[in-house]
Amino acid sequence: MKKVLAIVLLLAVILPWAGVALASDAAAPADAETATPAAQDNLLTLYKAMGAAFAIGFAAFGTAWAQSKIGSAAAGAIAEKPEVGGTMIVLEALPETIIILGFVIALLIIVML
Amino acid sequence: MPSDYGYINARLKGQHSRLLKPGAYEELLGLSGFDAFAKWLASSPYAKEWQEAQTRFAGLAAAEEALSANFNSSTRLMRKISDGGPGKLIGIILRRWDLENVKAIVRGIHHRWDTDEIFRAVLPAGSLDKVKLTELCRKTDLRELADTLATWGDELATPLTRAMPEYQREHKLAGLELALDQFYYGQSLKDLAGLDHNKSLVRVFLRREIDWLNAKALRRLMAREKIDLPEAAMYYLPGGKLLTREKYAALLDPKESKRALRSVRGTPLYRLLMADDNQGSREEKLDNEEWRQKALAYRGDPLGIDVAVGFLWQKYFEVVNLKLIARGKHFGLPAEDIRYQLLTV
Repeated sequence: MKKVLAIVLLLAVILPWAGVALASDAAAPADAETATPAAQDNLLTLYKAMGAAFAIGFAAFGTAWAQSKIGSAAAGAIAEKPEVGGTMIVLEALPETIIILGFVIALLIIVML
Repeated sequence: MPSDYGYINARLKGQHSRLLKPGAYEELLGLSGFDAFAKWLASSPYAKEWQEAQTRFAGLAAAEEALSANFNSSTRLMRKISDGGPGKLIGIILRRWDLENVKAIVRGIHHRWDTDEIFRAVLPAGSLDKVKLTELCRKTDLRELADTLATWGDELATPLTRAMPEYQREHKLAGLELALDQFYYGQSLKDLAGLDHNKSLVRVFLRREIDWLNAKALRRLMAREKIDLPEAAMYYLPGGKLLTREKYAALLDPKESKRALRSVRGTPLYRLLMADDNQGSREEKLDNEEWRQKALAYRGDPLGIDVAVGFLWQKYFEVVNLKLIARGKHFGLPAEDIRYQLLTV
């Protein structure tokens, strides 16, 4: 299980950068000084998109991880004491703040930069 | 079935919240008699099992049956809610009760107790459930017992079958019990190899238990007038942490015993080895101290096996204590006498 998780994480880190490398090769000439303004714009857009994707992607991963742990414990607690259901839903929702912050950062990258 | 400790421990913490509160024993000790205790059982978390037990038994037998059934349902729940790594560890821990039950049945058959008497000595908790234990208690011959276990594919049949020829030759119970102990502890320690925290915790407790059993065997041997060293060495259970084979042999040797005793000074084993024989149930009190360490594991890692170990032992303490109170009230013993026997966490 740990090995699978390590491979998934490794691929999650390597693949986007491989994409960036391939895309920048195609979009920009080898020499940045000789690049046209349009090509530079394309490259900037690509980097912004990648940054936003990372912000959302990692935040989503963190949220999912936290919710899976809280969710299984909450299921156990509700099975024993159904009256704690309300509290458990609140606790289960807490990690949502991580993805909301990720979304805000992604939005700031795209809109402000 | 989940294999993560979050779910399992949340369930067990829910179960733990239903254990008796501190001070409940004092209230029970103050009850006027067994009838008052029975009335309390009917309104306690044991009510369901008490009602069921009353359909087949009466009085003290019903109370004991209800308490055993409740412990059994707790251990069944532990098995039901765990899978994978946690399930395997919980299986190893609960297997200890199979070992104790089979040993109790072996003793019963050896001493020719009747079926009911043997059944009263067992506490269904492991993979050998009540139905299987009832069947085993009906056996009149130890060979038959080993064969039945083998038919069910139970691994405890292996040591019993192996030690059977010697038993049939010499009719010594110790050989059979030792074979069972060696098999359980050897097998469990093999399964618990590794650096994982949860395996380490269970391993530490098992190794302490082995030390404790060796120290108890030593106590009995040291009390003899003449020690047969080769026979004494046979009773050694390998796998303990403090009592190595060399230390065990040194403790039996009159020339070396003082030096060997010094090496275990400050440990619970020293207190056990030096305990005064005249102090009645002193050994049982020291057993309680030893088991208490397991019950206290409940406060350990909330996402580890610690909670399961702690809960199981606290539940066991509660059931044993309630049985003691039930018996005490049934036979009209004074509260002080019952209180002295109670196991404390």
